Amino acid sequence: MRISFTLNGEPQDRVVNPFDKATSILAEQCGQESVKTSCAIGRCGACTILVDGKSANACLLIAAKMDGTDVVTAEGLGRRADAIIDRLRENGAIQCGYCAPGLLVSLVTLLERAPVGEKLQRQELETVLAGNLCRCSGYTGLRKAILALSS
Amino acid sequence: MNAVTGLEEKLRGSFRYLAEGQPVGTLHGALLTSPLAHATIRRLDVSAARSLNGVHAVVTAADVPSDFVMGTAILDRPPLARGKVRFQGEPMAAVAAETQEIANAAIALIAFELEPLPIVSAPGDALNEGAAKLHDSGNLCSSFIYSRGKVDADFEECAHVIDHRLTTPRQVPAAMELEGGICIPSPTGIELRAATHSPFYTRSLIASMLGLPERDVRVIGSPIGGSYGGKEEIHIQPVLALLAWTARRPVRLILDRPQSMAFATTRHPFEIALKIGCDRAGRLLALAADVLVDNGAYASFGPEVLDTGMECIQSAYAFRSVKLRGRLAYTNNGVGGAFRGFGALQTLTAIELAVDILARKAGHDPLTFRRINLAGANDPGPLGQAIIPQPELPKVADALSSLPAWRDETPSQRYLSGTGYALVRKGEGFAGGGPNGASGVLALTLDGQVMFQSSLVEMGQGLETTVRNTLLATFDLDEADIGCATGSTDAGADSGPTSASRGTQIALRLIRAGKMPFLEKLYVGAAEILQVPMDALRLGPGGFYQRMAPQNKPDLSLSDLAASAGEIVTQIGIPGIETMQAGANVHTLFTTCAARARVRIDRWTGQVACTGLDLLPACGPPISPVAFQGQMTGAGAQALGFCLTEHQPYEEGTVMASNFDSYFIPTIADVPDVNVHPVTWLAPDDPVGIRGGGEIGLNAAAPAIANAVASALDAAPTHLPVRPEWVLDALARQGRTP
Amino acid sequence: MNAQPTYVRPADVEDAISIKASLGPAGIYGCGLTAAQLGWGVKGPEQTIIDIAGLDLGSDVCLADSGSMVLAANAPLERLRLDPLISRQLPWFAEFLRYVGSTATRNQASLGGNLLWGAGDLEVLFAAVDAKLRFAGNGRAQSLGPTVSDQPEDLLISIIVPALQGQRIFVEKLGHRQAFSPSRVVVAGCVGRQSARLAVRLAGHPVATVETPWPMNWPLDDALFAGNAAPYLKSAAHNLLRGHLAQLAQRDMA
Repeated sequence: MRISFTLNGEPQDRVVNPFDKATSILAEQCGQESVKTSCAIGRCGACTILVDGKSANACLLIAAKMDGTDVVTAEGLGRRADAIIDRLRENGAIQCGYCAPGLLVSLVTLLERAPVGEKLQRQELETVLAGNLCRCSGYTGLRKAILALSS
Repeated sequence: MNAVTGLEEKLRGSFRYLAEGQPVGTLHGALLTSPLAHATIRRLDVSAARSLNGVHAVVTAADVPSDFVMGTAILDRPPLARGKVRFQGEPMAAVAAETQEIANAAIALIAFELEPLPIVSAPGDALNEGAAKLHDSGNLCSSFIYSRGKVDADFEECAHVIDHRLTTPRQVPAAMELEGGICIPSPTGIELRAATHSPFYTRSLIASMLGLPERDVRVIGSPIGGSYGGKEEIHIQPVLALLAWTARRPVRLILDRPQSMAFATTRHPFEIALKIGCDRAGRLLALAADVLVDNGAYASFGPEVLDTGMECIQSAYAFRSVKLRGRLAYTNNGVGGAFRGFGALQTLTAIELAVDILARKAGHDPLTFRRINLAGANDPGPLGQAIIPQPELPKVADALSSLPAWRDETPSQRYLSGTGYALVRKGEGFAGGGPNGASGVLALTLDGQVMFQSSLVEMGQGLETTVRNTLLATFDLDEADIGCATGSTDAGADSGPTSASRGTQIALRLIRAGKMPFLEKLYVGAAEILQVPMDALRLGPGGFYQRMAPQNKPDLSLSDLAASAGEIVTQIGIPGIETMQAGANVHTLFTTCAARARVRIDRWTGQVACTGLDLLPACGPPISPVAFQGQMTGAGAQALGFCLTEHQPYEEGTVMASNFDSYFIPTIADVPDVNVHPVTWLAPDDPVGIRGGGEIGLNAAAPAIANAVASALDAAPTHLPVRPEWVLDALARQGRTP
Repeated sequence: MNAQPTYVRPADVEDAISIKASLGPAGIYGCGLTAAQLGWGVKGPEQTIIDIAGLDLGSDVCLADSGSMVLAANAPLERLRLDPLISRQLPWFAEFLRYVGSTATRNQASLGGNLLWGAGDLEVLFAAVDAKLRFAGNGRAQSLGPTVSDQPEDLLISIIVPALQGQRIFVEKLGHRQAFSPSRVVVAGCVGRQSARLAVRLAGHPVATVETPWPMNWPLDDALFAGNAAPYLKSAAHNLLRGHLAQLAQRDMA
């Protein structure tokens, strides 16, 4: 089938098998290497992308469902991620970095949703990020970075 | 300050890992793996696969020299199963084809017949007479025996004696990046891009397999998307290289998660039986230990893991007498290998649990009990070997006692809480048998950068940041003047494996050793160009300054120096700190760490949560504080997994957890903030001045968490991860069920 | 002969129903597909997927005059979790959604899908509050339970949570870790003045539901704890139910 979607603002038009996964379309056909495949069953978050502004696991998104959507990957976050990246750097939140693009996508949605000026509750932060596994960092630096951003 | 280089690129996705960014026309690899855990290969027919359109290579054991086997102390593993399969998921054949679909279709066309053999599913069974043999040499892969003093007499003298048994989990490294890579052949050789801790070792192995001179094999081993020891073992590189060399085309081969969960080497499960005793004053007298290790199907690092575990089983305590036995048994349960902690994690957790049990029985608080039993600063090492003195031990114990008290928890009918402590030490680097020592290069490049080149690898631990910080501290230069090249065979300087917590130490010592000879070459060159005596010059940001005139621009920039003098190169070699005098399988340099953990136990469900963790690593002043902190917090999370959530069970040789829906890595909701309190004091005459932080946090955190469970429940865990079933049973036995 | 399974996105509810009618068993309704596709393997589904995610099934959440809450079957779970009306009217539901999947999967997965899947955590909670499923066509409303197919002939339109008059709700999930885990045990209860409705699922077993007078007649009904489930799961479920009920009873006393 033919699908059209926007990827980081650019229109895309592709012929796909409806049940192909967004991971392979984005990483292999569209060159979005930020969309990492690790578990391929929606349990690690390494392939997290934005679909119409909401986070989604690309490995659980079939090609047919991409039709008509607005897709943003970590490559396309631009300035939205600047402040987050600074805090992550200061707090040593990232090590090997394989989980990092997916995590950054989740973080952007979390912080853009949190009402301005309201301190993000630790529980909410953990709820939103529990789907992004990080094997290196132990999350301490990550939590500090987010709380620094939201306070 | 960056903890790791490339942070923004990693986050924004432009950072390239080794299995990414393949050249156009790269073939896709696929593997045929064994569905059975133990079987004779009766037939393996790849003719149909070979003739499929779009297939460029199909390889099996027949394509590997018949005497080629891999391993460290024991060479027993073929890269593709030869005659027999010994674990579920063992590769039997591989394909390279134009698309992944064709490669998968070709795999499906391979006809094979496996004749099942009896499955050896537990190490105890493996050593029974009449057990099916995995290897002709029998199922005892390796053993360890050591004794000192008169254990039996000392137990007689003890006022208190306790026994404890602990079985530890098969923890999977489970890095987010899967094992794989890209191999690009040329007419005469190959370039192999795949994660390794030791590019030169990988090179020599691959060269010998392919019958190529080493110089024709280029290995790029880093950056790595997480390893923790899991990619220290040769993984899929030989198969990948074989495919590319056979196809004469670039090939990309990457495992999927279920393949990785079966194939990747795991932490060895240990069955540890301990008996320890102390006198009336609480002084430890005797230790008897019997350790049985599930090695899985091939030796890999098993013998070294066993040795390290046995060496560390006394933790940091001075036992008057010890009697130790360890055995490593082949089974059909995957393959055990290197994993951060390397055998020490298992035995340290057991001994620290036992020490708490004994302290309680003898009526001592666990902190005082540890303090009075610490090894002396100048005592020999745990196996009687000469070691670098450890006067920091009492300071670590004091720091542990001085931690601020926890904030009180609201009392609850539902939850119990408990606090646990640990104080441990583990050898850093390799034992006397090596590989010890290292080579590196300091160079002024043609574009005027002072570059440190080594084959040490970057896997997220912050090695490159450590190198950069060390260069800045060593030379009075700016960020822009320095550079660092890591992780490949390119520089021709074999720095040995980046493992056993040695990366930082090796980088630091190489740069220190190279400093004076390198500076001398720079000064000679600069003096010649400027026509002034060397002592009139000073190296500073950007280049050389003449001492007399204060100015903000160098009189000779580094790039002008390089333009005139050419590339200036200093080859550096350092010997090991380790000595064979200590013995081939014992360490010289030890690292100490203490930990405190708090757990909350749900009396309704038996579920355990870790709610607080402090780590007190005695590693000297950290060179990269943010990276060091990250090593500790990450170690805390992996220790939590080891104690509470992670285990790869095998049933009759069958992998039970094949992905992250059944293997449970801690999430952000599982891991509390890990507080790191570095104990930076080491002896002023310490020959290294720092210790590596790669493993020691894990080795302290796990026993502290286990002890916190023991303290909350008044019952020490006998199996890890702690099963909630066991918790409810323990509560029921004590009449504390809700 | 069946055509190759494919994917269709109907224009509206009528279109969806007529596509399903023409395909018969060769077509199934699907929504987020987060759970469904894990069963497909590399070959893809065996039936044509009629994707209802984009259909207008009414607003996500609607408070009916009767006081019952009407939830659209295709509402993504995360949207429900953050819905202000849910937070006000069904706070226990919003809170529990934290423990169902991850944010990314909740953004895809639908309420209806979770309830029909056969292993969804929400089924336990919705059984306890005796929610009704309303299907298209005859407009029938059906209780959750073993008679509900995971591949219903009719299109699930909405889920109705009956008006609660002072009932207290509790729900808890026990997983393998603190978050984002398959469940080992889910327990839920809806406790009114005279009676309580309790629901339990032990991993791998169907949801069991009982009505019981309140205050409780102890011990708990054995029917709640699937006969051949692991003893640990039974104990944990038992303790969880007993603990929550005891807390409510204490509060009633006070």
